[in-house]
Amino acid sequence: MLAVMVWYSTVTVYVAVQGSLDIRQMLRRLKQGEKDKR
Amino acid sequence: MTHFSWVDGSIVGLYLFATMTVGIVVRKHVAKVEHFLVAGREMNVYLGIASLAATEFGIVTCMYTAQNGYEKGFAGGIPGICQAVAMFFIGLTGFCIKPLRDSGVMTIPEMFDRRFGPRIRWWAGVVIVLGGLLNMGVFLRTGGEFLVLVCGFDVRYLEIAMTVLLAGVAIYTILGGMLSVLITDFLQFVVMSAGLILVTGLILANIGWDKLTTTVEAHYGAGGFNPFVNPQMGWPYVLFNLLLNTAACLTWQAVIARVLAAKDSMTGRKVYTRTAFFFVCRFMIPGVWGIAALATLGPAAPGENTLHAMPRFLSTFLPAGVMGILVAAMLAADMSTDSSYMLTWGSVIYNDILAPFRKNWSERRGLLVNRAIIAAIGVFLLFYGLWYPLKGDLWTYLGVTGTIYLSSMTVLLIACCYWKRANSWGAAAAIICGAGIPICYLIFEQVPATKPLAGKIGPYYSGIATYLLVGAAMVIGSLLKPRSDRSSHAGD
Repeated sequence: MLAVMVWYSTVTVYVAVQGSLDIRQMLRRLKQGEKDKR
Repeated sequence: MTHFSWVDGSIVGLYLFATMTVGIVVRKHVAKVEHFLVAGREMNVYLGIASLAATEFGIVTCMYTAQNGYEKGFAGGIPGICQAVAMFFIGLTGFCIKPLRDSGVMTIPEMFDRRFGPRIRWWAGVVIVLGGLLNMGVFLRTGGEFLVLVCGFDVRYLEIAMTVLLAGVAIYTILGGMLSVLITDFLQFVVMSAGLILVTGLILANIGWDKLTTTVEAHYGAGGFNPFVNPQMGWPYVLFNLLLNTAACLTWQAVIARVLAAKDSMTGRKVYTRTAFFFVCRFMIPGVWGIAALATLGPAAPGENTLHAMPRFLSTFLPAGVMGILVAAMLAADMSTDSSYMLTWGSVIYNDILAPFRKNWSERRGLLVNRAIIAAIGVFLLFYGLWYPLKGDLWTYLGVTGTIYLSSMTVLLIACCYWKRANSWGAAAAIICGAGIPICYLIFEQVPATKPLAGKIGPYYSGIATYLLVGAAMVIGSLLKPRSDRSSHAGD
């Protein structure tokens, strides 16, 4: 159970950091797509 | 007596405000239907992991996995292990999900149109929505029950709690679609995970791992650790869950939507392999909460609803402050699930059931109709959630209603991807069997004259038989179609 908790805590922090970068990229690409269309 | 205080209320209020704000602000990026349904297919790996994990963990999940822990001990975690194994291997091999994502479709029935024709697509859409909405129908009530029990509110406020929950979720889902869902899922994943880790840490620190294991040993013996020897489980339970969870990984629209929204099929596969172990945690963590409830409250009295054991335990165990974090975490879990599922079933209604009617619709009209569908789903959930009398344990209800569509859609998808001789006759036969058997079982359970028969068959044998018969129906139906008709790939 301790291993599960350590794994889960580590993954949460890692996904939180990487996920926020993904969001920025996603919104940037969507915005770029809208500009290109215009 | 609950420890829920004004401090906890403030924490919850702050969290809800932040989520709603983010969910609404992102709507400015929604310019067309593709943005609304699949976020423009711009989702990357880690956002996908967070979204998938958050979507598939709601209050309902917490309640039924804790109920499994309370009633079956550690052996109750086997469905999570089954799902983790299935998801990992599907991601590793790309089985079905690679051709599905590569096809560029937005929903599974859209894929069937290319192989089996528009009629099969339409019927697949109906079955998916039927099974999905029946399945989701209990989410609101269960979520409301949890909040009422944990916060110590009067049970008369259950319907109000349900309505407020749903309204909040509906607002940002209607406005921002999949974009709002992904980003709020991400926030909810962080808050939810923090709550899960904190509460589990407190349980391990204050109750202790030894007490949890000796409690399971005392109440369930070896059956509390080994599902094959547990009298409530056994091999039919394990096999049913293996089939169910494999099918869910392949065709549960809320799960596969993350693959379809991914940048490409490799990203979708990575989301699967890297999220797989989460599904073990999904059962183990609340399962431990259920075992802690057993250790503290003791076994249920005859007639008592074991679904309520865990929230009752938490309402007195957690101190003020932590209670607020837990409630925020559970609201996060529930809102992410509700929003994803409303969008999921709404996307199938729009993309597949309405497909014959939406010729030359503008993007604006498409967005308006999508939003109206989600609002209508919300209203349905509110009324269905109040009226359906849940019998038996929650996981089994979810498994049976999910099987209404999972069995046939999985067989159709596998055949569509890998069997050249599959055709519309086989698909139609599979859909009829796949929907008919679980619906009959649910009816048999409710009608007094057939209730003993339903009890004798049991949900696991019924579920296993469904998957086998649906496979047989696909093969036999496809082979029965006259050769001259088989040359057309667009169905009958």
